Amino acid sequence: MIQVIVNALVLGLTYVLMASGLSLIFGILQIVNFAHGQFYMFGACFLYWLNMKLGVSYVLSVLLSMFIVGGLGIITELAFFRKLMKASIIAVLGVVLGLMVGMEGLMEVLFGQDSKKVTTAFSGVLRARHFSISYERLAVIFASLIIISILYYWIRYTREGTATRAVAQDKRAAELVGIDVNRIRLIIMGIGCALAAAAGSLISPVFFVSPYIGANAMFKSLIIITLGGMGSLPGAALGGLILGFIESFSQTYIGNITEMLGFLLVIVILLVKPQGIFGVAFEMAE
Amino acid sequence: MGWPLKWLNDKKEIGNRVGIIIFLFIVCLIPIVLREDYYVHILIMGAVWTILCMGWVLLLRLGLFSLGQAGFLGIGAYSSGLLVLHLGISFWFAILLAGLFTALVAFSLGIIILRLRGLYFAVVSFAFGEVVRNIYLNWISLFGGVSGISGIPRPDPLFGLVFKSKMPYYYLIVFLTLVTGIVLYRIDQSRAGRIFRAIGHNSDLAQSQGMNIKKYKVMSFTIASFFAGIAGSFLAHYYTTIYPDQFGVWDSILVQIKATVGGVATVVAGPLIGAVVMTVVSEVLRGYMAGLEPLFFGVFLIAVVFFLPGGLESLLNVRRVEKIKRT
Amino acid sequence: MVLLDVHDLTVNFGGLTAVNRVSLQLNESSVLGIIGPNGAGKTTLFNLISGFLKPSMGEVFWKGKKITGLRSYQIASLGLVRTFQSNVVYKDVTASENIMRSQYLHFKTNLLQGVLNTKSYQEDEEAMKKRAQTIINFMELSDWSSTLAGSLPHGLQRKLGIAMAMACDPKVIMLDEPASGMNPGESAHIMHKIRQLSDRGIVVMLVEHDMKVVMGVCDRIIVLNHGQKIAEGSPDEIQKNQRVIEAYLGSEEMVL
Repeated sequence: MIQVIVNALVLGLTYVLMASGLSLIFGILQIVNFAHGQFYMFGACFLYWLNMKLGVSYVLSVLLSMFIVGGLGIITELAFFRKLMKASIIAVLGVVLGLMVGMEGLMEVLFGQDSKKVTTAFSGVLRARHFSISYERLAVIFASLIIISILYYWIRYTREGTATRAVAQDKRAAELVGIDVNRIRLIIMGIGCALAAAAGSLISPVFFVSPYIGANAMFKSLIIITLGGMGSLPGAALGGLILGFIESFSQTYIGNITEMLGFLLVIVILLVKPQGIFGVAFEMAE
Repeated sequence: MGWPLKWLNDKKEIGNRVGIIIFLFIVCLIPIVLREDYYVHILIMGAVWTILCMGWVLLLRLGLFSLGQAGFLGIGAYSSGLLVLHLGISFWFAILLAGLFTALVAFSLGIIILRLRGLYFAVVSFAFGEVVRNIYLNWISLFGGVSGISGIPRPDPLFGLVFKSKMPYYYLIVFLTLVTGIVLYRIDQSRAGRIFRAIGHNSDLAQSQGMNIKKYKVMSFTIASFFAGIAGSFLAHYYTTIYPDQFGVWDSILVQIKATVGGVATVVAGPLIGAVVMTVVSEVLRGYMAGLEPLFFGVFLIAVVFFLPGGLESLLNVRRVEKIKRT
Repeated sequence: MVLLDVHDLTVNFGGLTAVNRVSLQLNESSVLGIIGPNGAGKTTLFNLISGFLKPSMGEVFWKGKKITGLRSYQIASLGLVRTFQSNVVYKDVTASENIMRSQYLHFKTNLLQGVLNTKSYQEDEEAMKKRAQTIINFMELSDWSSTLAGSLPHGLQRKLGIAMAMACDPKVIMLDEPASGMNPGESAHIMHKIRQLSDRGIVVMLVEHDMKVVMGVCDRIIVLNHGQKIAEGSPDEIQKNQRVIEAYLGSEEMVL
């Protein structure tokens, strides 16, 4: 039982990281970044290269991977998203899907098609009377919690974080108060993609790394933010944990049913209560 | 039946129309010139994608960005395959039934989900495609799970055409594409197309002028999916083996990519160019290295969005861009 | 005969009551003006009557039948057509194509006939073009028929908006600030057009801030303030009404 809960937390917390990134990006840039899963995948691939190929220590690899992918996020904002601020939905979805597809292709070329294994830096198992938990999983849980806490601290107490909340609530009002919205967009793309990379790097020793893991991650993030409310951080947190627990506890069933149920849930929620549990109602300009 | 001649004699359009005749002539001759089966296969696939892309563009007229067209392709394929395998129906009936069944599913789904706009609709259409694919994967007794259904019979001989080689398939799909193209072109040019565009441009205004938005969205959704279903049925009896991964997210996204790259200002020309060109390109790239295909597609798509919003089609005809502005 | 009968129409948003128990009646051959300071609820009232907003309370009757809660396209098809304050035209197409689109209610659209391009379909298309031309000429927009509506100056867009409403075959046209942003020459022209519409038997209901237009064109005027009707009467009566004058004191919209 404890094992299942631990697994649930491992999955759930990394989902929270990923979904929070997506939610932030949606809340500030009003773009559903379908390529978000690819940033997650990039995080995993960079971790593999740094840790396994270059021998960089695991912790440092995770941080570097977050940093690099966060940087890629910032480049994406400057090169693409910034120009889409007044664009039609065809243009926005075109770019976002183009990124999704292109990034996977790029990694296929650079990384190769095979799944590769990352050996854990935390080998060994914690044994107690009724259960045993691998140190690796504990490390993932621990690291995720730290990152999430830092994120929440940042958004509540720092100047930039407060400014971000202001922009999410009302962009024009924030501009009038003197907040540099463009700078916030950059910061959020950096943070959002770094969060995705964090999720990818942390989970890679648990599963495996390949250029194809992005699509699945994207599906899950989409389900989570729809459930919790697009643009809502508490929603992403709740949704992520719920999905993690559902997946972990239904390991006994066929894995695919969870995904199908997840998508059915997406459809139902968007029809009935598009704001999700916590979320922000949103009218997309057409 | 003087209308074919009258059609040709329309002085204004005669340039275009003669061009179309020549084009069709070439299309019919190509497989005879290109002996290689492989090339004919590429053209067949190009035609299938054209059907999907044309329907996708029609939906775009109303502001509907569908990421689930591959789902309807799959419904057409599976329903047709199963009808022929289990009920012994002739392919020639099954293809029609599959199209109608797909249209029925689209109609029922549409009534529920078509009140969603823009982004929400895109996400739901995407989710729908995945739900359907999961059904194929999990309902193994009916759909065969991961390995899908194999042994689907080829079409019965018709008018002396025996479906053993690629050639009869080629002519069949060309015919289907032609029919689809004519119907969708006519719809786009007609008052219905005008209504679709009004709804897509400014749905509040359209409503205030008496247009029932939902009705027309459901109508176009059903039509586009009907043709996707027909294309799916064709595929099922062409491949003779179908499995869930043929109808996944990647394929729905491909429809969007090919159509956008081709150009969405027209319902036939843009999608045709985009589908054929991109299908050829993808075959070439796939031969070289895995990963090149999605990489180039992603780059193409983004390049088109930023630098050539009218798509490849707009390169051909500056005059047509002006004509489109008037519609 | 009473065409439109609005009874105690009310709508609440959260804690705010934007329209509060407003009643009005619209008779054949009349021009009704709705005025009031900014935020009085005039456009909201339009939205309620035309089906773009659902009322919290109250009823709307059209020719004696209840139409409260009907969808906007259904109300339009009954002959009650409205224009918008912003978002007046289809920006991406020409002025004449705007009118063509607006003729939806006047001509049947049959999908099958359209696909087959039958003779009767083509005849209808010709008739539509002629009718569009007539309407464009009426609003004196023929110089701009091939211009993209989005690039038309503001005043012309509003005229196009009125032309589009005419194309819908209306019994009643609800004009939302038709003279907004127009200079005196343009607004005089609009007044003339509204009177011509009324002469043709179309009933006009308008929301307007330009008092010259309102006083010059309307038979009756209703004044709203804070969502409530505070006065109703002829232009003379309204101009002398103490409550109306008080409502406008302090706001700059009164252009007498």
